Amino acid sequence: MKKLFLTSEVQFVASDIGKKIDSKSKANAVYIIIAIKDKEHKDLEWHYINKSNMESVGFKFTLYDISGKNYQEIVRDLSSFDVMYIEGGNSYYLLQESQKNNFINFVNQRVIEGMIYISTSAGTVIAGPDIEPVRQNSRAILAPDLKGTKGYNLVDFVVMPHWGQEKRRELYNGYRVEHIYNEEYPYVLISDNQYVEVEGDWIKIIDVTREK
Amino acid sequence: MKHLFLTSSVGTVGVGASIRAKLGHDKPLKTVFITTPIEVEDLTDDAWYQADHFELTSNGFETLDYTITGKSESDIINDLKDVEVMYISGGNEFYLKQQSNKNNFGNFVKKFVESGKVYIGTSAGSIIMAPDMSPCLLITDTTCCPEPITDISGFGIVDFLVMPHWGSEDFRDVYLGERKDKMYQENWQLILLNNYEYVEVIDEKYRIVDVRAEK
Repeated sequence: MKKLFLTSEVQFVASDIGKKIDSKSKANAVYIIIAIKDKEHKDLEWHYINKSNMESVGFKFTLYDISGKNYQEIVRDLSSFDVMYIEGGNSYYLLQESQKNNFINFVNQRVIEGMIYISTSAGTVIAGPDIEPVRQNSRAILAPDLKGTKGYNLVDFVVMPHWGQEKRRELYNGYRVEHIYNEEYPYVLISDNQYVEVEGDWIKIIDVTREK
Repeated sequence: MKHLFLTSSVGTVGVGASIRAKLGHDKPLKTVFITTPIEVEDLTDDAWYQADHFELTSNGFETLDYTITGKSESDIINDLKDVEVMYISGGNEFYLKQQSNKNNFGNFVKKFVESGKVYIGTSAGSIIMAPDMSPCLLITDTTCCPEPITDISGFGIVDFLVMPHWGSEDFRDVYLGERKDKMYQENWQLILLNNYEYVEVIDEKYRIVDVRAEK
């Protein structure tokens, strides 16, 4: 059964997610770092905290970069992992690199087979049908070879991450809310303290500040 | 088992049929159509209300119009004891809550849902199921209510809040106007739902259904 944990920023919800996955699976996890490879990110402190907060609740990661790999290499290298975590960063760049080697198809197949998918921000948006809702032209230009904006389509709704976060207020209210004011998809807005848990076709939005 | 269908508009073609298909078609379902949220609405153009009625009745929901306004708790318990499905109309959710506070209707709805009976909501009827309706103060006019609105909590039967009619031209100005900034807060679990979509809730889990994708 399909199992996903779609977060805004995993560091804030890792302890909650960690309780929902068995130790054996957590110890066999791959950490996809591609979305932070572009040069835009000079400060990666958030990434290190994401990783260490997950490790502190039992995840043991192999770091992996899909860039430059072909499909056969991806199948060979990643098929045995029980958990895949996809880091945040540039959704456009992540999608571009996922298109080059059909990583999209691989992820879809593995999720159907039961691999647990966990993600932050870009990794969360890309799990949906389309990444266009989070368009930022300044970031899209870093993915010049992108062929369309169709996402992994693991879920049929779009998660809009970091909702309510002060430093993104201008981004959302100045542009993004109007950009998604359409009838294309259902939009789920999650704050940094929330995540969407998906089991098969069913979802639940968890707010860790309200968890008992 | 809790079973709810929270729609933007049950009158959108295909929504009523989709819900009915999930419930099976074996027999007509005795359905109370709670009209209370409409009481403070300007119904000069009541096409949406008529469409909601039509979609329900044409899909085997035998509707009985009913308002809780002026009823006592025991009136409600007695009047609705044989009902199989509860439908709460669109309209004004704050006025509905105000009237509910006078006769404990929220508790009745909670027990109704917990007993396994089906609940369907349109717009205000979907919003009212959330724990907190404050973001809807931005989209719903409360000046038409006869008494001041002091209670912005919902019935708390689900833990998220549906923002209905997302993307529709009719609501563009209220969603994207000067008040949108107030919605930008971390306090709620928000689902932006367009007129073709509804949330089906079974116990603590839910899914968002787009009737256009079901064809």
